[in-house]
Amino acid sequence: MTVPADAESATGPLTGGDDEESSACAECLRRGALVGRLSPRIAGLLGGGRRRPTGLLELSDDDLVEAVGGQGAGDELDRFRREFDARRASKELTRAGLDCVCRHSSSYPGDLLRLSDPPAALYVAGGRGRLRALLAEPVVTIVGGRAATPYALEVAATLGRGLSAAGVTVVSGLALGVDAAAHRGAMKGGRGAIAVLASGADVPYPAAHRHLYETIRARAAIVSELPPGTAPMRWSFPARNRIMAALGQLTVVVEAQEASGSLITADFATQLGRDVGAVPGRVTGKRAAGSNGLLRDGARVIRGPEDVLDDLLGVGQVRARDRGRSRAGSGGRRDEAGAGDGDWTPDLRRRRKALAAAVREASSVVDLEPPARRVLDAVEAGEGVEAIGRSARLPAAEVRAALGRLELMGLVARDGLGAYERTGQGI
Amino acid sequence: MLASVATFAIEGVDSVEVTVEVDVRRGLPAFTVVGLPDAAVREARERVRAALLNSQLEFPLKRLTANLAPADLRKSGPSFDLALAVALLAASSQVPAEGLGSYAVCGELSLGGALRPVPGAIALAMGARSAGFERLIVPVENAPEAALIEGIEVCGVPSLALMADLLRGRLAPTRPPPAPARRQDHRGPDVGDVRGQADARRALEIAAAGGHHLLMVGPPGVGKTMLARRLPGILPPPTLEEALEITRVHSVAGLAGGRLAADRPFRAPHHTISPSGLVGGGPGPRPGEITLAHRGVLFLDELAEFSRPALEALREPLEAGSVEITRRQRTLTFPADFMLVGACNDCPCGRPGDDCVCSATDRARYRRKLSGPLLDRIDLVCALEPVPAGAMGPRARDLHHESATVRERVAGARARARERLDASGRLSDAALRGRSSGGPVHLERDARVLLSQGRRDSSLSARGHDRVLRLARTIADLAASESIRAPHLDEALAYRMGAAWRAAA
Repeated sequence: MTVPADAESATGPLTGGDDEESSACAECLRRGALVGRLSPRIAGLLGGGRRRPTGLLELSDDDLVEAVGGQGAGDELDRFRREFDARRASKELTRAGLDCVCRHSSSYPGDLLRLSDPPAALYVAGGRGRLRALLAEPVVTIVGGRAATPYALEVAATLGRGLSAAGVTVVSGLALGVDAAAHRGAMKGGRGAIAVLASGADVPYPAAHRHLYETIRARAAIVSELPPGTAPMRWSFPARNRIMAALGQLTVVVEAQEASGSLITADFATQLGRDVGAVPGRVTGKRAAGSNGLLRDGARVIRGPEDVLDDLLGVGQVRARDRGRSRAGSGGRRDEAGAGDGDWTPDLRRRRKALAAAVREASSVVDLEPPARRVLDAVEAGEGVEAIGRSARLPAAEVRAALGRLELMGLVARDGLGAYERTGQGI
Repeated sequence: MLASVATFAIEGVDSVEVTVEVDVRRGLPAFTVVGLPDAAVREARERVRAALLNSQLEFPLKRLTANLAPADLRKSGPSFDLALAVALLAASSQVPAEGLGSYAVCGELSLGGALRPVPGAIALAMGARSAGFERLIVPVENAPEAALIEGIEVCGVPSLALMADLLRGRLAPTRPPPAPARRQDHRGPDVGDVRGQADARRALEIAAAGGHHLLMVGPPGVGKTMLARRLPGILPPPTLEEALEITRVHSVAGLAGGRLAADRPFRAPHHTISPSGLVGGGPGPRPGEITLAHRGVLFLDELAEFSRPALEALREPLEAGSVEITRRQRTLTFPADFMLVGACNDCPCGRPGDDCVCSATDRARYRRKLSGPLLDRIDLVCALEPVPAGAMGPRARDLHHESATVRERVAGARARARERLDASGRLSDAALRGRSSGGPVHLERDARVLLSQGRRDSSLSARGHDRVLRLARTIADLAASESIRAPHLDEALAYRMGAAWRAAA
């Protein structure tokens, strides 16, 4: 179930208006609290490794307790049922600054209901109104490895930024590496991002990303199925991945090793019948073995934000819309939401601007002096100054000078030291 | 009877005047030394007694009191022996006391009466000269070194007996020849031997020309250490003044070997060094490695393995060119105008690119160790990568890159810099303190535009801005260009550390 179109256009995107007294019923709050409480036991049951809590979260409260087991589990559940006080739970939520939407609420993301085990309650930091506004746009999930190459980080940031600027909401998991790069890019793009956590929505995890967490919380939304204060457990990461997969119309794996958590997300997305895309990575390394494997298995090839937009909206839709002609045949979720025509205009303007900027960038390349041109041509992904100099056949001083200029012009980037890459601008 | 003799004590790398007073009077035979002496100075009593007796001189069996003034300065080491013995001779009328006021004497005594050399002869001579003494008497081994200082008559004496003869006027003092330079031609490893790594060699040349700090990053075995060891070979030899400064510091640390330094120092302490070992300290306090590297190169291999406090302690000296050490209510300033050359791996495991097995957290921790403030002071960062076997090239020597050729280019650049800095006393552009964009740096218009763009786009701090300018100035000097042109600035910007290395994870 989704919000009526006029209600949304009245509030407009990204205004966190609350239209309901409470969005969570007592039963769902209790279920949420129960899962949080059983989290350590679920971890114990599943053991080490990233095993998915397959089927476990589908169970009813009683069956879940029985399955998770442990000494005096039945008594504990009884006591929990007796003592659970929905009003107190709501107060605790308010104290933690969180909202909660349950699956009976109109604010609950309808896409999650396609899961066999949708979370009963979704805890939201940043406001449920804002979450609803973000989810009313096309949603793309971007995931990838934590030990990412500079190339992957840059692609993730470009995707996040470009999609966000085009009005797409980016979903990711706040993890180190690709996730954070996608989030940062999306926050720069203006649209914002949704971070899905494997801990409570009020627990910034990993701690290194506290600042990013605060930024997203202040300007976009952070969600989790675990009650406030819950620490992340091994099982909660794959569980979180199923939410990410369900939220996005398309899941893009930027760079993943074999057997990585990102592949679990892609797997969930496939099961849900969603599209999966992957960014091509180096075939000689291990870092992109998983994502390259996805491509081999038929995932969509993602080279940049344009490819994602094409996949979301149909080939050429952006340009067609840009000229203000056909608006028909857009395969995105917008139509499901029944949004009016007027909603597209701000996004269009942004997209046109982005295109114009790209054209400007492309034309500026013509001004390159011959040595800079040669160096630019010699830059392959992830190469150092020495290798570039060898293939450009220029003295070291000229190579450095050219690279400095190209970096200033934004045509190449480096990982802080020597590995230069082309940025994809001005090709 | 009372007599006093002037001597000098080493304080940091300078010397301070100490007056040794000896009072001889009747009473129970005793020999007391007062004036904050340490154990080595108190033991001087035994050495002086034995040395006098073994030199056929008299040790008076009277009540002897020696005072080392100023009394609030801690005295350590055996260099007061000779002054004590001379004051004792004068106080017991074995040598004439007149004329002692124009002498300063320093030296350690052996029991047989021979004089042993003391550390810091140059500092002693400089102190004696500025205190206005006409003549400095030192052990004969120290004489050539002390004679490097003009304006004071240095006299080398081999034994206490001859010292007494000198004071009695039976021996004419001989002026020793000043210490010879250690050697003129550089025989270290040659940069021309390096195959590949053109970028790193270029960085080395720029660093040498401007005295810039340099960091080399790369997997093990690509030649970081090998390149760093070749840096002394492309540095121009020190000027006489610089050589004196180097020798003074090394002489205090007992490293000079009685000769004038002909090469710039190259210090490569192990990464387990303590903060005070690196910047100086201890109860003395003694000069640290950065002071021993004064006017030369401090090479820190495995930079990220050094202790955090040690690395952080480098921050001020890197900027100031000297370090102030405060111990026991005394503050000493040690010179520390050195080039920092660091080498480290890209990550803890050191494997390149995709073979790296470090987790993102490990990498971030490793990189954080080299803090932003430290990296901000390093002008040149270059990443080395393995040279493929095919690109190694023939072993034939590349004349253009031989140490001697490079050294000439470096010397040329330095000469231009010095001309421009009109003998402001600074060694190099990097040592030029304060804002440099106003006076001596002339930017061409397009370069100025470029710089402001770089300032806006990247995470260039104000210090970074200045440092980029200085680096560009050096590059322009190497290219014999009057003003800084855009390519020079481009190159300088490309050598600065990118922001991503600093960003954790």
